[in-house]
Amino acid sequence: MTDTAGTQRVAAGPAQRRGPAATAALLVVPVLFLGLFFVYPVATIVLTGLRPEGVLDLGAVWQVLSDPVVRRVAWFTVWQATVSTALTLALGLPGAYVLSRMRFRGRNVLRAAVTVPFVLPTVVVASAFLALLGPQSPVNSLLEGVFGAAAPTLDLRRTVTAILIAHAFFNYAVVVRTVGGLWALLDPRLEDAARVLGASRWQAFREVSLPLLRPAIASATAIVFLFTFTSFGVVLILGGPARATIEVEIHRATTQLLDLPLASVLALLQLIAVVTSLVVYGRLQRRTTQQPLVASERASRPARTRGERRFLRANLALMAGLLAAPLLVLAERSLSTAQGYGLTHYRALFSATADTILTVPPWLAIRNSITFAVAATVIALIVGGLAATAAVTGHGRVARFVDGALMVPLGTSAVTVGFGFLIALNRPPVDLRGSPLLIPLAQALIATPFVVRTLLPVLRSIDHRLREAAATLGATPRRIWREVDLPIVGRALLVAAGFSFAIAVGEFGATVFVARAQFPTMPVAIFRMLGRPGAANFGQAMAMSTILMVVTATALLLIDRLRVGQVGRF
Amino acid sequence: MDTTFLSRALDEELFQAYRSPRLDVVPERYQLDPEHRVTPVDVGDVCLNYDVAWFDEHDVAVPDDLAELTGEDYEGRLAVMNPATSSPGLAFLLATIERFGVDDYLDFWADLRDNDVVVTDGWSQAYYDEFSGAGAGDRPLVVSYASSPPAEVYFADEELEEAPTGVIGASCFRQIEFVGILATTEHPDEAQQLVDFMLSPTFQEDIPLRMFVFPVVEDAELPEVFVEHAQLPDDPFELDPFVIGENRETWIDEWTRTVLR
Repeated sequence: MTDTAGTQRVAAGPAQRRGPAATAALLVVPVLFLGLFFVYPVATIVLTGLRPEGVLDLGAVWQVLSDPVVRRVAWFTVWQATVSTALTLALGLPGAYVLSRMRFRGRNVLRAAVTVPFVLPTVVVASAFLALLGPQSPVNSLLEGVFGAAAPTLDLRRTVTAILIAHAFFNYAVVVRTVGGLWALLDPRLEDAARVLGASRWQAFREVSLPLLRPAIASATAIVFLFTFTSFGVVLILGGPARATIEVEIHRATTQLLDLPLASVLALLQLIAVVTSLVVYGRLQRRTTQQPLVASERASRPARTRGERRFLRANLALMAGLLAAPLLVLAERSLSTAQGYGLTHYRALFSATADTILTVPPWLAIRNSITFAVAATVIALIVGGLAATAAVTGHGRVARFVDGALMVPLGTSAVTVGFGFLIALNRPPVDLRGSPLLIPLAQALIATPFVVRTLLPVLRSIDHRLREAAATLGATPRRIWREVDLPIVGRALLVAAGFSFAIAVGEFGATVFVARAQFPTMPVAIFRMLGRPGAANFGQAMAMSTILMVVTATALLLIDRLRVGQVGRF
Repeated sequence: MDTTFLSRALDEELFQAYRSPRLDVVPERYQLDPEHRVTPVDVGDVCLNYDVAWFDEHDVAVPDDLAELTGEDYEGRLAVMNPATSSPGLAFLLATIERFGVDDYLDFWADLRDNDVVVTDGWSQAYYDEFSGAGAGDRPLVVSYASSPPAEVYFADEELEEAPTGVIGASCFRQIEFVGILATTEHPDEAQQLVDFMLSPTFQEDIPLRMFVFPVVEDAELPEVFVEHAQLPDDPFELDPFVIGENRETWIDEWTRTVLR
């Protein structure tokens, strides 16, 4: 795209459309990325499975689809994902309000902290949940304290309820960050005006803010749905082995039964379901709104009325119970040793040499995780940033397609992606066999949709007249981006960067497939330590989990504090 | 490659034959392929582990036959893994098939289910979340490995005189792990050297403390902690890899229907 062509276009057109050539240029990188590192590996593995003897065997497809067990599994997958998403939204939306619109001490720390659950390996979290939901939980001690020995014992282990609670725990941050990111920029005077005109607080929210937030809420809904749809560890561990999602069945077919045809059909089924839900979501997204955005500092206010204070306290209590309690269990376990509380396990992580079950000193896993996650974040920001820009300024249909396509990896089984990487990217044209580069690439695949989803609502909300005014005054498209878009988008870009980092640090499913023994990440190291007997291994796994939490929270806090260009003064 | 997947690899003719000279010091019973397309490297048994302290405190006898597990004393006391998702879980299922026979093992599992057995997805959930001998759980019996007690001593927070857990010899299923040279390799000579190295005393003596399984060669010395706290049962349950290969899916399906549905 040349500057003159762009300028003319922007200056001449009534809307802020760019030419098809410009959109295509923006889309080169995202399309290549998605094609090479998602479509190609996944197609390779699925086709390998469908052609066991070299010819396409569609009989297998029908056979799998007509199996009543598969149908029941598919139904349960959809059902639990829908209910989990609804629960997460119900809990997360008030949280998003509190963390983006109310000002109170420690808010920034809290905003970073609520994202921590999102990155923790399910194995570790599920173990903490079992402790909290089982007969020896604090809830039960409380019940016993009140009602004595006759108290009913609450045991939620291996129930659907446990799955739903854990899904809300993991995905709370998705709602808080994607919806809160936009909410923080909405002009509070809009609601004020409605209130002055006699609307109740609820009416003002429903009729003013809610429509404006719709794109962000739709994004959060789609992401949470896809995540819970492909949920694996949570379902297996907390739901018990009798419950299975499609993802669980794919994993079983691939790694235990070595039945690639079955795995391929299931992966296709999963893809079809994901694409269908994305099409539905795309329709909801089409109605976008534009509104003036303000700096986040101006949008938030301290709690003033008693009702507001109560609302704030209720939400903080929920965060403490739902999010903090399981994390505290992990931290407590990491400090617990045979001689009482101490730092033994932490010291072991840093003093141990290669002579461990990891084959490398455990602290290297921390360095690996950070390095890979930074690389993945950069990749995701570039790919996602370009795609989001194209989606906003380009032609509707193409843009919507790319936007939706980038979401598909979120809803695709990590086993399929990981296995696909292994068999497709080990020979020309893309020979990355054994390359550590595979790790950030796999992680970026999951992180990119978040970047797009975080940037899009904000980009769409920018009043295009600002850009047009700048263009009329002679600004080049690059200058318009730097001086109009960036200051407004900067905040969202930071949110996206933080989220990408967190996702990359916590990614396990695909990483475990492509990470060679000498490059373990923290989640991989935790998984390996938990695979061995012995109090020291368990303690070190918990210590590593705690370090993972601290690293994530610190990174998010640092990113939150960065200032990009004019951000914050706009 | 372990015993349970061996037949699959041999049927698919993945490996080429090579007889390492070091096989002379490997007992015959570990050499499951007479054509030497695979070479045994280590052996480890999947066994029931018990919480020593719990059995002392509660004055309950440690079971010494799988059949006892359905008795009243052991109601709600055992944690096992899903054989469809866990390799020790599958090994324990095979042990019960060998003990009760193909016709009766499902009855045993139905009784076990009625006796409130808990089934987890993977080993670490059973061991750390359900088992009382090592983790936060409340069940004194768990499916684990013959090498778990020495691991408990080796990886303890403090020095232990005795292992906190024990192995029930009459519950063990033998698992042998093999290495094979790919039929399509471009480097057969180097591959043969690697196989020889894997049977050398250097490699074999390093196996126990790294992988927590036992060496297969007779001239490897065991580390102290294994000598004191581990016992590899003389007469474990064993099944022909080809019988396992033929029936694995059927058995897992039948088990799933009996225990989980």
